[in-house]
Amino acid sequence: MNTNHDDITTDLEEEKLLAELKNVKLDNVGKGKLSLTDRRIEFEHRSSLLSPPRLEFSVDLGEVYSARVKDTSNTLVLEWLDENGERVVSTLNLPEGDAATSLCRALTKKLRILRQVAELQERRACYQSFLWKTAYHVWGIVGLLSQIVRDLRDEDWDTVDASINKARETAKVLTLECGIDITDQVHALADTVSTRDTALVLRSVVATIESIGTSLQNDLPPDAEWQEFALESQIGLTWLDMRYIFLFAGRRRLLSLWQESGETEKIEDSLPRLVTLLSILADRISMGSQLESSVGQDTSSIADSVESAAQNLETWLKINTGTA
Amino acid sequence: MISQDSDNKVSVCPNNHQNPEGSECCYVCGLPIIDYEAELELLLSQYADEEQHVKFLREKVFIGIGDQGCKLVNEFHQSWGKVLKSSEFLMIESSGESQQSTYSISRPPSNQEYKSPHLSLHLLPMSINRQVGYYGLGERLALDDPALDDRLLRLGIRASTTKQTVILLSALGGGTGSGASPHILLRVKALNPHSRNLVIAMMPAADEPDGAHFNAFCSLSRFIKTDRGPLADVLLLVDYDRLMKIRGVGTMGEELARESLLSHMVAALVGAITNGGSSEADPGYLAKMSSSMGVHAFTPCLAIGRSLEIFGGIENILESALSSPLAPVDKESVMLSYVLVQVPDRMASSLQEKTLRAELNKWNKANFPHLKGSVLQLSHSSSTSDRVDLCLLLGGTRLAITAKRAKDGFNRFKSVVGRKSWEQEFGVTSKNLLEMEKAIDSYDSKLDEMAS
Repeated sequence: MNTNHDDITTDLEEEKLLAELKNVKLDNVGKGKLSLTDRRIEFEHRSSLLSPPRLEFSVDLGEVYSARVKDTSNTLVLEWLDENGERVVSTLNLPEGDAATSLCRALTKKLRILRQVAELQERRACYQSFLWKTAYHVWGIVGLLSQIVRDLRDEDWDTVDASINKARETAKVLTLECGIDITDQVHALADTVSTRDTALVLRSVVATIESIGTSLQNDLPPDAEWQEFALESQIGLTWLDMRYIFLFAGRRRLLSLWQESGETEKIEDSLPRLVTLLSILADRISMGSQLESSVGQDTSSIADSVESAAQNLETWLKINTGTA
Repeated sequence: MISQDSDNKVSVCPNNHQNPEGSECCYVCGLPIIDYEAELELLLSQYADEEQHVKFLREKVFIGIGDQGCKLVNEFHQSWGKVLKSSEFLMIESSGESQQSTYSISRPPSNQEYKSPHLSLHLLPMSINRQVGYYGLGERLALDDPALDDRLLRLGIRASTTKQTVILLSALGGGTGSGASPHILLRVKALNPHSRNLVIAMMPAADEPDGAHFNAFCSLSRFIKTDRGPLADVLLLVDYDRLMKIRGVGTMGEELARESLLSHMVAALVGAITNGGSSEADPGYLAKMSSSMGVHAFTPCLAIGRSLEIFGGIENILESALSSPLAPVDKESVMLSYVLVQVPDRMASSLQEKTLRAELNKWNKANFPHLKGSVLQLSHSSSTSDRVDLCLLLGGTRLAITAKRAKDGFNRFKSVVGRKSWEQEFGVTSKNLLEMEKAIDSYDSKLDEMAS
């Protein structure tokens, strides 16, 4: 999203000529004009005085991955990949003088800036991946912990054991890749599960959920690598969104438990909270939710819409983490 | 979610816009403002509230071990399972023997506010074609089962349940019943030291081979004494031959015999027969009292469904019960007498607790000269008949008398088996055998001391 926005903005700006050099000789072609703008570098060749100029190459600066200047021979070697992904090398002999030096400097500077921008964009994309991954695993672990709570009602220990194994794996990923360390809590939970004491297990589940919730209380991600991005105003997910995904995941699961046990009061109190959380998340993620028009709907319809939105959110989380 | 300055408190919206504290929506982007700390706290408290749905009390746990024990628990569960709340039922069988079993195991209904106690089956793993005909082999089978503790924990046997009674039903003639039962009770005590344990032990019939009596004797010795004291607080000895001879009448007028009679006795013990009436039956109390007195082995005497009109009074019903004890009893040596009486509600006025107690005391005095303690637990049923159920448990008679047949069989069996083959063939050493004899002798000696 961020990249598209930048592209649109760039397209609207006028292309600026930075330098132009005549009498440049392109190997195997001949002499011509080399132009450098803030977007591209191109070479125009005229085979005779009367013949029309022919554009030998016009390359977006973003495509150029190498521009070497051999000072001794005043030669500029450009390398880029063509539309077929094949490497193209062009050797240009520049005329001696300040103009050539100036073009080479401008080109080098422009390429350096472009690389920095590309790197930044790549890191931003990585940050977005990090956020999607964190959201996906937070969503997943809250789901697993809630499923344990559900299975405690039936004392279905085989299913609880299976959920604990999955929770261990998710906790490992959350710790290693998302900076949310709940491994100790999940280990303690696994130990408690082996006692088969439902009340103790529930308390341990709540402690684990609390630990996740507290990890998300900071305004910045735990990993310093991403903190500068968390401060930027940007389109896409933000670190603060992790809180809303966490709260929504928990509330949605509680809603389903309460629906099962027919706890109407709790359901009625919970639905507006879920709708509020959804309105925040819908600002970031398209969830196909129709909850904006939920006013006046009955409890059951709102609950259905919440569940449908939750499923869409889950799909989005899977798609954006490549697990769909 | 709320950041605080020294002077001005601000709320931050999901887009990081600062808003005056208490704002519901962001004045810049319009998104709702959520107080994360408060929402987190509420979420956690609501998860914690789930405790009301996951807190299960298992006050009574019924465990049947071996083929006969499983049949008894199955029968009991079918007859009384529905009326027993806060209970759990388990059948434990060796995997080889279970292949022939046809127990109906009910699964717990899901999504239900009240779950009736469910019956489950646990198989002690054993290699195919192996026989578990002897006490030592049955004990080893239970000892080698890595999943046994987990199975007992899943039943709800844990130290946090301070008021828990485990009722173990087993026939002691076979290898699994005699060998696995004491070890299982040992694990029960380890998992919940607070639990009170009652064992209903079916003793082998007279015509069974000596090996069966040997098994029963070994098992009794373990129930009655371990390094950490007795495993069974109350050990009810039921002689198979005697059980076959007695009859009772059920609440619907049907004849009760064999397993159904035993099942009725267990129901009386745990107060299950009241059918909506009230019950003072508390097996945990009986177990506690037995432990404190040091009297563990009891002979049950049953008079089930006796018409008050025919018998004329409670004294005659007591006599009827005493006339057919389920194991040998020596009236002279009885030190503890527990009487569980169930009378129909409509007769409550004519059979008041005070009257019953007075009659019982008089009867006790006439029959048991060395009696040291007596407990009456009265229940009222909604039955419209005039039938009274009476279960008399008499403790204090030496095991040398009560379990004489087992001891004799043990001695005979011991003498015919070469000492060297004990461990390999029967899973016990000669040292174990000595300890077993010593355990029974020691229990009997203590009774003698108490009597004198």
